[in-house]
Amino acid sequence: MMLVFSVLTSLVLTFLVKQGARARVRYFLILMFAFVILSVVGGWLMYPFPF
Amino acid sequence: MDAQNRQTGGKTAEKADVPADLEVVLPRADAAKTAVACVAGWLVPGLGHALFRKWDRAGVFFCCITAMILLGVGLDGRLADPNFGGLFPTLESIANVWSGLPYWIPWMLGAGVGDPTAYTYDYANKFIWVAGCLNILTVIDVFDIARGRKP
Repeated sequence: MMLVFSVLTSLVLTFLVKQGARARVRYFLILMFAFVILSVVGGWLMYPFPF
Repeated sequence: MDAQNRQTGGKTAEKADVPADLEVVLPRADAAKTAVACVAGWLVPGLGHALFRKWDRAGVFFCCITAMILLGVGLDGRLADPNFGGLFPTLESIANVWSGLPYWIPWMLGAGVGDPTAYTYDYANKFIWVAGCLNILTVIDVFDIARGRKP
């Protein structure tokens, strides 16, 4: 589900910000991996907290 | 960033093989067409871009934003009633209202009641809220295109 969210959100943001296929592909991949990796890292960092 | 740099994606004139004295003037729509495009883009994600023949953006915005709302509803998310009594309900209402018809039609049909006991409830709500926020950005993008600030 996180992946679906990341793909859809990244696609919209990419088409808002970038022009041209090459720039869009690059920006999309960076944004999507940033979403996924930061979500996982954030989840692990929050793991010890009780709230 | 000036018009030339905007057109070349921020590259210098030499790198983009564009003459230094070239000034790119983007077409500018009148106020009525701008308003119509913005309202259309609000009601149906991507329709504002379609009016300016930006087919790629129109298709992506329509598919992604509509899919996010439908996924949110399908995953037991809640299409909240407009409620402006407090900060968070207000922000939620703004996000919902800005989703346009993909929010209003299921809401009027009584769908999207939400099931807080479902595993996907929280995620589904995020889908719905983010779809509305993204649609706000697309309407701003339509406005920029209409005013000739963006290709």
